Amino acid sequence: MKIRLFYLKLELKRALKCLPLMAAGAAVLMFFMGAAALLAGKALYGGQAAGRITVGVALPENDILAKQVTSMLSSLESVKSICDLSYMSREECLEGMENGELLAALLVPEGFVQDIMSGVNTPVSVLLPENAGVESRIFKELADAGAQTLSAAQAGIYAGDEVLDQFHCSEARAQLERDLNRLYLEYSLPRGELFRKTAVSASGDVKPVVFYAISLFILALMLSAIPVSGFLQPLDPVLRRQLLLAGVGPVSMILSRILGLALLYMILLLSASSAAVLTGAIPFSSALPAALLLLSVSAASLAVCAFQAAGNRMGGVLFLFLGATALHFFSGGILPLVFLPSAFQKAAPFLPPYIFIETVKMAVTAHWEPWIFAALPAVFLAGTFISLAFEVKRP
Amino acid sequence: MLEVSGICKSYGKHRILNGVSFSAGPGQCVGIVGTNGCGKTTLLSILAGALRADSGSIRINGTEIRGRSGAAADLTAYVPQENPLIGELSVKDNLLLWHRGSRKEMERDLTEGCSSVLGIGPMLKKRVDTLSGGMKKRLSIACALSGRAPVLIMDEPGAALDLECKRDIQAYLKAYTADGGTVILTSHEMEELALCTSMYVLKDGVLTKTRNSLSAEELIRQFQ
Repeated sequence: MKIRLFYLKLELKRALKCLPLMAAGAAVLMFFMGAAALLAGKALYGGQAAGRITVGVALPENDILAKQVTSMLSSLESVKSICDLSYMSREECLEGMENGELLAALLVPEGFVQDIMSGVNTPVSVLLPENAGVESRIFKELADAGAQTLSAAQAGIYAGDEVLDQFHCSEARAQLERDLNRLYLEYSLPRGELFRKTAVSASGDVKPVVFYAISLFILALMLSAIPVSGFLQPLDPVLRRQLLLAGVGPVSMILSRILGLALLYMILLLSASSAAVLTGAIPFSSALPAALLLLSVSAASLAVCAFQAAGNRMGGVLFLFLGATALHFFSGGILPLVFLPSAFQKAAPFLPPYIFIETVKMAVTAHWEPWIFAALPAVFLAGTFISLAFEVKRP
Repeated sequence: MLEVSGICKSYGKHRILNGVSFSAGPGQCVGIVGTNGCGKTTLLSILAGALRADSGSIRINGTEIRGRSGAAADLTAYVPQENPLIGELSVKDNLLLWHRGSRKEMERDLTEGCSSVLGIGPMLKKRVDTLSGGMKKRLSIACALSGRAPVLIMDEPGAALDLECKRDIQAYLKAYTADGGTVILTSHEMEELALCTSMYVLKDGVLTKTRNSLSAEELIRQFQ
């Protein structure tokens, strides 16, 4: 027993000597993965990262009514959340489009509002750049949705007019149209808020950007074991034989290595979570330390398992990199699960990266679900038993 | 007293050891020679309990150790060809790992015992990775002997060492046998074999006693 405990102590000491290497590796990994994510974002969004949509609006001179309508539109939550409307002349709009300062432009014709009222419907010109990026396409959809909303409103007003005509009350048309306009706006605009109470996202309970930050963090955590591959590689056969002779069996060897790496993971996780709690990025909860401890030992058992399965250092590095990346993909860490085939969606909750991502999501939201405290030990036990099986089978 | 009788070992259909028998008393140094791959390391691994023989008996001071690796570890000190050291740790940590006694006993060992003779004291705080091959071999021997076992088993102790280191190790072996210890060693070096009080040749799995004052040419003829 004494030699086993002393061996564990030495393995923890050996692991701590690898801490600077692991921390540096994790930082480099986070930097490269962050840079890759940014570049991918730029490539996807036509050379610009997704941002707010700048729209130029050219109104007819002295048309107060048109300005009121566009102000009302720009105050709508759906428009306000992604668009910045700037009022300018027609020439400035065209120039802004040409030099790329504007992603879209609205040219409002003379008597636009009056024409709506009278049913003439003079259209607003929507200008989009030739190689429209995703922002411009989003604005086009918004404009189309706005036009459809107006059509529906107009249809309601015309229906009212026709009812009045049928009942020979045409003289009340003007009053009806004024009342319907007012009532329609009163009811329809706040109603939109009701539908926005529940945020529906492919990334679940957290915003996409938070989800991807968590996903990136988990992948970096797994891959940060690569710089300490010297510690994780299977023991030299001569040393192993001597340890066996001295009474240090395969269980002690594997557990010592897992606990050594878990100690390093725990230091990294505690540092990151302490910084996040202190800056207010995540709330502190009493379950957080226990969850981090379980996450550390589970992730460590998987990393050791990769090296045990490979049987040597280089194979372990390759196995860990490919295995962690593939499992991360199948767990919905790269593409959200809703975009993966249904078979993958069903299997994902049983994959370790899914469980790790869920753990960090729960830490971020401080909403803990009991199943996570059963799933993490299950991952640890599975990783440990598989590692042990490979250790016992070694000649 | 080490008594080995009828040790057999096969790897698959290939028989490596075929009824190996010999004995060695306190103060004796037994040399085992043979060509590369003849089974010397297998025999020493079996004596140290690191490998299990198919049949036969190994007794040390009347205690049967075949198949009992714990007893073998208590009664033998094994220095394999490669060094069983943890490179990232210090010399002291490695010594502490293998030392069977208390920390005080280890410290006494460093000033008076085998570690002192082997010159381990000045390098206690050094990382094992930074030591030369000779230093590592000295440390391996010191680690193996930290258990104060009555039988020292060494697999080619002088391989790849410089002359000074070889001389120190030979001096230590003389002191060890003079204190009543038993040494079993394999070697290809005549200087080391000159320390042996009895010599055996291992050929085709059979161990045969030979004169311990043979020249290199005579030994080579025996291998053939």
